[in-house]
Formats: sequence, structure tokens, C-alpha cells
Amino acid sequence: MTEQLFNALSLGFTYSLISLGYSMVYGIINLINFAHGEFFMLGAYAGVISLIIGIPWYISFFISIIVGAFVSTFVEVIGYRPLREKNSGRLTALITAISFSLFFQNFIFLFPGADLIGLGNRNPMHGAVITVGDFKIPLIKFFIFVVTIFLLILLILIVYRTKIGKAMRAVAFSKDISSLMGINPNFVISFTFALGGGLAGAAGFLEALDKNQVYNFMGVIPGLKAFIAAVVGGIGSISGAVAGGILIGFLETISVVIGLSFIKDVISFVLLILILILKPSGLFLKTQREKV
Amino acid sequence: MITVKEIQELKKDFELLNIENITVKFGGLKAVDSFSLELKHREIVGLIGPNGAGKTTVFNTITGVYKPDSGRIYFEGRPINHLSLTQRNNIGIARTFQNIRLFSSLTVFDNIRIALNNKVNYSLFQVFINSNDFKTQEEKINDKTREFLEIFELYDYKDRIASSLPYGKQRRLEIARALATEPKLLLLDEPAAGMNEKETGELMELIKWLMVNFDISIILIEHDIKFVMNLCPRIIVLDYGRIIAEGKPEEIRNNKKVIEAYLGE
Amino acid sequence: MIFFENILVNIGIMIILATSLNLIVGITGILSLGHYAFFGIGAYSSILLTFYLHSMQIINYIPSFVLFFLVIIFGGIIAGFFSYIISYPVLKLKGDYLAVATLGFNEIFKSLMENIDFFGGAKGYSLYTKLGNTEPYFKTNLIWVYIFVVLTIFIIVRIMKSNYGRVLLAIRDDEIASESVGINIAKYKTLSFVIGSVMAGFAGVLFVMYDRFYATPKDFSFLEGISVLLMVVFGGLGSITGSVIGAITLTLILQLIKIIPFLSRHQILFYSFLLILMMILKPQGLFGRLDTTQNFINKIFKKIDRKEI
Repeated sequence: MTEQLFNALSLGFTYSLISLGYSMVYGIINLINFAHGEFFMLGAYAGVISLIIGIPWYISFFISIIVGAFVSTFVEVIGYRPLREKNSGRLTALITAISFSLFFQNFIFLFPGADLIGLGNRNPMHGAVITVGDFKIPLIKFFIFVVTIFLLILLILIVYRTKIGKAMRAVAFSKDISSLMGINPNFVISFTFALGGGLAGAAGFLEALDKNQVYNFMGVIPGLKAFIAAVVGGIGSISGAVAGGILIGFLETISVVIGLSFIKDVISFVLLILILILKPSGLFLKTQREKV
Repeated sequence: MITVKEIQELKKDFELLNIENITVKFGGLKAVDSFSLELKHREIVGLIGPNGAGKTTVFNTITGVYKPDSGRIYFEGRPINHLSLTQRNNIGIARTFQNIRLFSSLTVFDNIRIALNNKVNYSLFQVFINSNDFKTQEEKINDKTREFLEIFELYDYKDRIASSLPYGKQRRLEIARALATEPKLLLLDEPAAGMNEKETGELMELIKWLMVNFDISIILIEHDIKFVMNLCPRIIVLDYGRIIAEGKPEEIRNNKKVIEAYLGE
Repeated sequence: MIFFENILVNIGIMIILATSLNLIVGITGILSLGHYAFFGIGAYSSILLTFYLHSMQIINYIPSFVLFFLVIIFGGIIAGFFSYIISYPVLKLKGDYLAVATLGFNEIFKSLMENIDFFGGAKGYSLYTKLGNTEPYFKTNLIWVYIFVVLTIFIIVRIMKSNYGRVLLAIRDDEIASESVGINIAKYKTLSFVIGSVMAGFAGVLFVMYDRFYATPKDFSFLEGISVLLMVVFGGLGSITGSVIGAITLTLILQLIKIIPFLSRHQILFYSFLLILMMILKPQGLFGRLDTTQNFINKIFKKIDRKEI
């Protein structure tokens, strides 16, 4: 039971970390960044390759974050910014996002053998277990737990205690007003992408250690579910993204425990459609009026 | 014997629009605070007030974009709180928008034809076989559209894409589109905004002409005070969501509260 | 010869899919990413129906071309039925949310097909094997495909010529303005979504009954459907001519890619790259709003009208 609880929590936390990026980006430019799951995947790859060539795990972890942040910013600057400036509408932005996603997934195929890389004994936490009373919990689950909480505190500090955090909230509120205040919206938007991408990269590293492998499609399903988590929690809200992630983590773990593992991937979509219909602002946010 | 209550109800039946104490909240803020209004047939009322006074919110509540947090709205004696935007247009409420919402990628001609969408009753099947009924109905729609465009002096622009029109023409087109739905009540949200003096004058004549020929009531939001005073025998002043004054133009002009609201900004 | 027939059949099916998706996405502005689910529903329902028709020996009483016509219509109706049910919750959503919900629906469809044994599970349903390694009595050929290509284009063009089409464009341009002129947007969106899905259902039947007689969940995933979206975007959202040319060009390019080994290994990489370039350089597509197919068919009608007078 305790073991399942930790499973659910670590799964939920992984979703939360990815979900935060979706939520922040949507909050600031109203775009579902479908490519976000790939930042998670590429972060995981970067971390795993670093580990394999012998870089210590804490530096590899850092590399994952940097790569996630870098690719995320790259996509924003190359792909989304020109579209925003041309004002070319939601559909084009959405299609661009999907295209980037497909591009990164299939980019890995250019390197023969790279579509699945096992970590083997390079994994610093492979097989390690910590004992709490009578229970044995894999060290990695515990690690995910600690790291996520640390990153969350860091994120909250950045968003609520720093100048750039204040600027982010200002741009999310209104791009026009904040540019009157002397804020450069494009810079703030890129920073938001970097922050979200970094968190996704971190989540990728944790997932790679947990599963002991990386593969090129590993970002697809977690990416979609993290998006659902963001919607369920109320898009644009940090606590909502975390709560949504944990909720989905629990739902999935429960569906596996009661022997319905085949609905594991479907259940979150059903939840999404239900939430969108019943309470589109998310479970934890107040319904707001659309301005006309 | 007739009771006071019955008289009040009777009044509702004979008036076009009756708004009772509506309040609309955004978060904690009251954008409109117990607003009431009675509007007779063929009456024109001006709604003025400083920026952010809640004028457009009143329009959005009358047309059904927002549901009021409290209060009731009656149209021809019938409560309409539960009706949607579409249903309210179908019973005779039409509007224009402060920030112009035309079908911007379509032609001027199509903008009006779309407003006539409820006038057709051919089926898809009739469309496929190009039946005579379909053709005659389409011709009727086209004739009617031509008529509207001529009234509004837009016929020469009929094949232009709506968003390519000059600003003043876009405003006219939006009014034409609203009228094409054959409303009993027309809500005009800053119709003269962005127009030059000549265009404003023409618009004023046009509205007067409409009042006579179309048998409609109008509520008008406008920042151009001269425009409102010229056109509306009755004016309501809003500030912070509340009515601070109501009356004839000369009464409003000399009202202390109104002067304060405008100068005290 | 078979090679060319193959390509022409492929092109035809892609034209049906692209123009019908364009009706939904480009003309009505419903960002549906679930079009391939209806393609799949058409395919699955047709092979199931064909299997039962065979086991009932009905072929002895009714000519096979009549039966095949009924099977195609059946595939379309089932796809339309499901799209109608889905439309109720999904069309309440706006923009991106709708996109994700339809994508979710596509994944749910795929997942159900993978997990229900009746439909053959993950390895799919093979009519060919079920019939004892023989082909069914009737199958798709060039004529069938192009009858439905013409029908699809004809229907969409006629819709665009009427009040229905104008209202759909109005909804795409501005939903609130549409409501404010009395348009029942839920009704028209459902109409467009269901008509588009019925056409995808037709395409599904034609696809599976050509030479495969075999449907797997993987054929109808959202990922497979990206190529159709590419065709629509390539040709220009809202342009029927664009979709037709997009379907022809990209099907040919995909055939060409298959000849070049490097590209054939990296198909998706190649066309995702193409899409990104397209979006950044020319987001309105090749044809933008220009529509010559519509003009052409309308001219024909005008000629017929004149003759009547």
C-alpha cells in the first residue's frame, strides 16, 4: 500500500513538473505548446548521455535542465515568435507546435540505435532501496519526491519573489499594459519557456532514472497527460498544475491496482473531456468571464 | 379595481424593454450596480459616462453575453434572463460592438447576407439539387441585401473584404448588419468612434432616418457628448456601475454630479 | 499499371479526407485533430458488415455493386453517428481545448480497438483471414473512389454556395458576432462536423476495401492523420482547390519519398520539417482563400440555369 502510494506520488510529481511548463506558457501566450513533451524527452536524453560518458549524476541532472530550457527557448524564438508577430492565428500556432513535436521525436531516428537507450548500471540509483519501517521504497521514488518539492519551492520563489517573476505575471495579465511599463514581453515570454523547459528537462532526467532507459516517443503520453493535468487543475495556476498532476498520478495508479491497466492511458482523456464540459476553468480555479 | 402591482405588470407588457435592478460582478468588483431602465417603443436613450463606468457591460447583459448576478430583464413583457445571445437576437435585440466585430474575412455583401440567415428555410437537399425554391430564396436574400447596402450607401463596396473598408464604413456596415436581423431594439456601442466630423453628421442623419422608417428603439453609448445630446431626448449617466443622473440633455448638462464624474477623473 | 492505380486510389482517398477535414477545420474553424478516428470507424464498420454479409450468403440475391454501395454508405453513417454523439460535448469547447479533446477522442478510439477482442485487438481485424484467405465479393476500384471524390467535392461546393456555407464562414470569423445576428452556432457546427465525418467514413471504407481487407488500430492514430492536416494546411485553410492540390502533391511526394531510401526512413521527420517551414514562411497556405474549384462548379450551374431559361 505504501509502495503504491509512493508510486502514485512520484508519477504525479513527474506529471506536475511537466504540467507547470504547459500551464505557464498557456497562461502567458494562450498556446498549448504541444512540443512541451519533447523538452522532457530531450532533457532525459541529455542526462542519460552525460551519465553514460561518465559525468557525475548531479552535473548530468543540471545538463538535463539546461538542455530542456534551451530547446524550449529555441522553439519559442524560431517557431512561435514569428507567428505571434504576424498575428497568424491559433491554428497555425497549434500546427507549428505539433510539427515541432513530431520533428523532435523523429529527429532521434537520424542516429541509428538512439531510439532506445538503456542506462544499465550507469544509473546511480539502480536497484537502490530505502527502508521505512517495514516498507521498502525504491530510492528513485524518494528522490523524485524530494527533488520535485525543491524545484517547486524554487519556482514559487522565482515567480513571486523576483523581478522577472513579477514581469511574468504582468505579461500574463496583459501584454499591452506591461509593455507600457517598460517590460519587454518577448524577453519575458522566452524566459517563461526556459523555465518551463527546464522543469520538463528535470522531469525527463528523473523519469530516465526511474525507468532506467530513454526512448524517442517517451514524451508523447506524459506530455499529453501533463497538459490534461494543467487543464484539470486550472490552466495558468501553479498549485493547480501540481494538484492536477498528482490527481492523474493517483487515478492511473488506482486503475492499475484494481486491474484495469488498459484504461490507464484513456482515463485521463475521459477526465479531460469531463472537466472541460463541467468546469472548464479547472477544478481549483474560479470561473471567470470572458471579456467581450 | 386594479392594484398597483397589476399596473406595474401592465406597464411591463406595453414597454419594449424593462430592466430591473441588474448587478454584474467581475470577481469582487461590481461593474454594474443595480441598474434599472424602462424603454418605450420607438424611444432613443443615450447612455454616457466615463471610461470603465460599465456602459458596455450593460449592453453585454441586455444581449446575453453576460448573465446578471441579480436582477431581471423583460423584453415585451417577457422575462429573458435565461435566453442566449442567439435567442435574444431572434426575438428582436440587435447590437453593434465597441471594437467592431465584422465577419472580417468576408465581403461586405456576405456580411449582410449572413445577417439574413434566419430568413431562409431551404434544406441542404434543395441546395444540392439546385431547386427552384432555393434559387428564388437566394434571389430574395440578394435583393434584400442590395436594399440594405443602398440605404447605408455601401453598395459600391459590396465586393470588398469587410476588414479592408475604412473605419467609418466598417461602423456603418456593422449597423446595417444589425438592422438586417430586423430588430425591435438596437444597441449601438460608440457608433461614431473614429469617424470624422462629416461622417458623424451623416451618421446622425442616418439614425434619425432609421428611427422613422424602421420602427425601432435605440440605446446608444457614445463619448461624443454633442452627438448624444443632439440625438437623445433622454440620457442616462453611469459612473462606477451606478446611475448617477437621468433626464433631458439640458438637465444632464447642468447636473453637478455629472460634471464631477467627468472632471473628477 | 497496378502501381499507377494504387497511386490514383491513394490520391482519391486523400482528396476525400483533406476536403472533408477542410470543411471542418478551414471553413468552420473547428480545430479537430480527431478526423482519423472517423476514417477508422468507417473502415472497421465496413469490414465487419462485409463479414456478416458474407456469412449470410446475401450475395446470391443482390448484385455486388449494390451491396458495396450500401457498405460504403453504412461506413459513412456509422462514422456520422459517432461524430454526432461526440459533437455534443466536444463542440462546446473552444479552440485549443477542442483540439485536445478531439485528439483525446482519437486516442480513446485507438485504445478501445486495441483492447476489445471483437475488433481484433492490437493486431487488427483481418477480413481476408476471416473469409478463409479469400477476397470479399466486392472491393474498391478506381471508379468507386472517384465517384466519391466527385460527390464529396460537389457537396462541399454546393454547401459553400448557400446560406449554410456563409454561416459556417461567419462562425469561423467570429462566434460572438455570429450569435449576435441570430445564428444558432451549435446547430451549424454540428452539421459541418457530422458531414465532414461522414465523408471521412466513406474514405475509410474505400481505403480498407481496396486491397488490404485488414484494419489495425495503428492505421487510424492521430499521428497517421497528421499527413491529412498537412495537405489541408499546405493547400490553404478554407480553400477547396488548395486541399485537392495539397492531397495530390503530397501523396505524390510521399510516393517519391518512398523511392529515396534516406527520406523513406525519415518520412515523418521530413514532413514535420516541411510543416514548420510552411507555417513560418507562408502560414496561409499555397492558395489562401482563392477558390477556383468553387468558381468552376458554380459556372457549370450557371450554364445549366441559362439553358433552362
